[in-house]
Amino acid sequence: MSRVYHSNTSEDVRGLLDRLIEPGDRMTPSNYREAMFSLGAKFVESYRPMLAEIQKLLLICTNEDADFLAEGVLNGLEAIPGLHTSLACFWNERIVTRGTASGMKVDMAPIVRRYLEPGEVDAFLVVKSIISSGCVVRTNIAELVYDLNPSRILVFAPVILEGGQAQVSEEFDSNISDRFEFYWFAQDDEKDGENVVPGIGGQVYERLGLGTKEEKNRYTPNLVKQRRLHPTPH
Amino acid sequence: MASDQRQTAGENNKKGNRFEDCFAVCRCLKVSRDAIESGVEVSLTEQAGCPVDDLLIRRGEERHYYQLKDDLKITWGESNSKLEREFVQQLAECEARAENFGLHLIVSHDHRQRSLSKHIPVSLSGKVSIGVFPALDRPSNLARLAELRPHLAWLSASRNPGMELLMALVEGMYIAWIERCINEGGSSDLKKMIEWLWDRPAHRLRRTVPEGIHPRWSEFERVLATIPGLEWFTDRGFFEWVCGRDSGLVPSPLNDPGFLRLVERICAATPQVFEDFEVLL
Repeated sequence: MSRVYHSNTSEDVRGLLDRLIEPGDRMTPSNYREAMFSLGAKFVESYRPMLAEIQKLLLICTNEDADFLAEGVLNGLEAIPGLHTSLACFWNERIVTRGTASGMKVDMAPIVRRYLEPGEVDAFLVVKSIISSGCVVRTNIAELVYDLNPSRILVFAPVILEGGQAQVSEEFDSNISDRFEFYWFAQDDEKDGENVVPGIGGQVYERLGLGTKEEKNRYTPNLVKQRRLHPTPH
Repeated sequence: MASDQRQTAGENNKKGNRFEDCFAVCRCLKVSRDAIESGVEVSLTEQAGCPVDDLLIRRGEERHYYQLKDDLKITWGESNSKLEREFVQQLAECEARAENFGLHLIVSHDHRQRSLSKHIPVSLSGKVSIGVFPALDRPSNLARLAELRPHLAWLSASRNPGMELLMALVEGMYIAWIERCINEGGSSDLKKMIEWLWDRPAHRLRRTVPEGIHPRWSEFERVLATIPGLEWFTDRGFFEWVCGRDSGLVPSPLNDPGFLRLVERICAATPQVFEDFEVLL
């Protein structure tokens, strides 16, 4: 097991990543949520000049990340003049279909709900707490990319499994995958079952206090609730 | 993303298999509506042991014979006119049996279609259709084929499917195709493939609406009708809803206990605004 940090990863960020992998008795869901929010803010802080080049950005996240990591990102983006950010939030299931005779399998993340703000965009910013198989990220990009046709597709995850970038990219033809730009703070190279080690300390929905894989999809983020009330993004 | 663990003889075979598999799946998707709505029996056989044998599709009384060539240089005359001889022989056999049949040559490049059409042997002119089917890098790319979109739009569990739903559908059909090939020695029954997909609702294949979904169905619909802005649809065997910028498809089909429990939750809670409805999903 080894972890590699990106050259842009500050000591502050390393501290936040270390907090994520502390056991649950020391790292309550409330503390974990705060750490995720801070990592989102740190991403914007680290890449602000690059983000300031964009005018119309669609932030894409899952419902479990929306109020924490994505909200941290969004808060930072609001301080960038001239940048208009809209939101797409997806509720994904995780399912594997296996062919009994062929040994063939499909790793799927079907979308069961979505919240999507309308409008044209220049770029996607996909925010995900961790990229392992890349299935959720791939699914959510595929859902929108052919209709909205952004010129850039930024993908931010605090932690990524080695090979995760390729897993996301290889599902797309080069005219799409050439637009990908991956941003991460730490890269791990090992998995224990479903979990990257040390990763983000387990399944994010459990660590955030959103319940099991099934229960987490009943959670409607406050971010979505707030933005429904405002015709234009806040 | 589909991963195929079948053993093949090498890269060329793998490429050829993928071309043939994707074409077969495309045909399956194109005729699935007939199979679902009209009960038309469709079966597909690879390497059918006849002169034109890459794929034989039986559709009711019709027989369609396909030769599939993902080949940049294919001509009628190559290998001592092998291609021509195969079609001439197949034509003779079909006519001798007085079959209701079609002969089809499918290539992967437009220039091969143009050349083969221009130089078609006199004996086959008007008797063989020459079509183009692209060589795809991965089965999920079937979802982006313009010729398939109207068929997928009908087959989807959603009235307004995004690319994710269409990709799940084509990947499901791809696995169903591979499964049938291996299990039945090369002959696939489309009805069984559709049933295989219906057993796996995550692939979101449209289903027939069950009769008498739930004893409290009328009450359920009355409650939903009071929620401002909420629209819902059940005509594809799933419960799909839209409310402003929010939308969703309940993953359990209408006849699944999981969905029936949702009906009961809605009837019991009688939500009157969307925010009260969404917590019950």
